[in-house]
Amino acid sequence: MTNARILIVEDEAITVSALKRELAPLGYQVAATASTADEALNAVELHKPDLVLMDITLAGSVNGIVAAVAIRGTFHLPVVFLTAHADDGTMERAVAAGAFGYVLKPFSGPGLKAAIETALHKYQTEMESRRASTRAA
Amino acid sequence: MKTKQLSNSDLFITPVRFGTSAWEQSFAPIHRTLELLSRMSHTAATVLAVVLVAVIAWFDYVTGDFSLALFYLVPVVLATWNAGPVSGWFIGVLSAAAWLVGDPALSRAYGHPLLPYWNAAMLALIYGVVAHLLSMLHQLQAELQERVERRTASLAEVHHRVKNNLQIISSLLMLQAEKLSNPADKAVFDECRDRIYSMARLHEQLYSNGEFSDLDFAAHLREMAEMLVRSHTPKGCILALDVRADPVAVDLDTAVTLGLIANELLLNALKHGFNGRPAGKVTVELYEGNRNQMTVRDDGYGLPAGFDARKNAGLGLELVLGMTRQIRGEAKIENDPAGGTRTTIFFPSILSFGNSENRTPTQTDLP
Repeated sequence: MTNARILIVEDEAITVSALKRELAPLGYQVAATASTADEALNAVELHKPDLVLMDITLAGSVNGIVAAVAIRGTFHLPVVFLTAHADDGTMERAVAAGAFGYVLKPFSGPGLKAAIETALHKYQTEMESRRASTRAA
Repeated sequence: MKTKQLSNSDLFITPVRFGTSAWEQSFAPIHRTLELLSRMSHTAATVLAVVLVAVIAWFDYVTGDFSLALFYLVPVVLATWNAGPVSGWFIGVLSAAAWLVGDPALSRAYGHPLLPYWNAAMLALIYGVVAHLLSMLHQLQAELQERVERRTASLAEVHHRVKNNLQIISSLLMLQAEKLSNPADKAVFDECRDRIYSMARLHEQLYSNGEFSDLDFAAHLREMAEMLVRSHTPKGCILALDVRADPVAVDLDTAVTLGLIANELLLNALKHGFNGRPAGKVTVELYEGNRNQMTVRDDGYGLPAGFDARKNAGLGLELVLGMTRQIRGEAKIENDPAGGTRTTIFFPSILSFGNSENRTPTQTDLP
C-alpha cells in the first residue's frame, strides 16, 4: 500500500530524520512525528495515520508498549514496533500489546518496507473479516 | 532479485546453546523436582515435613534396632529451605522427639533411663544447627541470584544502548550521504552503514540468546549474507545464494571481526563480480575444525590478470587482510577453478585459543 500515512513515534531526533528520508523513497508519507506516548495519542487523533511506527523506549514515563495498547484500544490502528530491544521478554510484551510488526534497530530500508507492508496487509485482512462478521450478525 | 537455494546445511542453522552438556541434562528431572518444591508455600512445606517425620518415625518403629536418625534430615532440609530457619528448628525438635518415640530399642540399649533423652536432645541440636547453616546458605544463594539477575539486566541494557547508538551513527551517515551528489561517494556511506548493521546484528544475537560470551556465528553469517544479497544485487542480475554453515562457536571479539570480514568479502563479490551479467551465484561456507574455515565464493569475473593483493588492495581488501591478522587467521584469495573469485579465511577454533598470550600471528597467502 503505497502512499500510506505513517506516524513516527521516536524520541531520538536523528533517527526520526533518518526515518523520514528512508520512508519517502519507499512510497510512504510521514503524517506526523511524536516523541512521547501522550504526543503519539494526540497525533493519532489529529492526523489519523494509516500506521504507527513506534519505538519502545520513549521520552516521558510511558513506554511504547503501553502507548501501543492505548492506540490499538482506542483507534484500532496497526502498530509496528521499531526498537533496539531484541530480547524475548520485550518481544513477548510487544506481541501481547497487539503488534503488527517488529523491526530491529539499526533498520534497513528493505526490512522496514517488508514490515510495514505486512502490517498494512494484515490490518486490511483483519478489517475485512470484521466487516464480514458484522454483516453476518 | 535473488533466489535462495536450500541445501543440507539448512539443517544446521538452529542456534546452539553452548555449555549444556549431556551430564548437566541428566540432572534435569532433579532440578525440576527441586524447582517444584521451591514453589511450595511455607505452610505446605512445613506440613509436608511433619508428614515425612511421621513416616520416618513409623519406619523407625517397624525396623526395630536399625537407627534412621540420618533420614530425619530430609524433612529438616525441606522445611528450612522452603519455610525458613524457625520452621527448620521446629521440624528438627519434632524429628528428635519422633526418633525417641519411634525407636523403643533405645530404652533397652542404655543403662540409665535418662540417656535416650540426652541423645534426643543432642540430635535436636544437630538438626537445629543443620537448619541454621542451611538457612544461611539459602540466604546467600538468594543474594547471589539477585546479584546475577541485576548484572544480567544491566548487561542487556548496555547491549540495548550500544545498538541504539549504532542506529544513531547509521542515521547520521545516511543524513550526511544525502548531501553528496556523486553516487560513488554515497556508496561509501552505504558500505559503512552495512558494516554497522553487521555489528548490530551480532549484539542482538548475543543478548537475545542470553549467552554473553560465545555465540553461534553460522546464524549471523546466514542472516548477513541474505541481507547483503537482497540489498546489493546489481540491477538486472538474478543471484542465487547458497549458505552452508556449520554451527561454530566464536567469542564476541572474533565474531565482530569475522562478521566485518564476511561483510567486506560479500560486498566485494556483489560490487565487482556480476556487473552486466544476467545471473550468478554466491556461495558462503563455514566449517568447523582444528582451524575453522570461512569461504566466500562467486562465479563472477574473477580476479584481474596479474592481480596482487599487496599492491592492488582497495580499502575493502586491506581491511580484510588486517582483520584476518587480528584474529590470528590466514587469508587465501584466488581465482576459483570453476570461474570467479574464492576467498578463504582460516581462523583458530575457540578451543585452540587457550591463553591469548600464546597466540602467534600466521601468514596471509595472497596471489
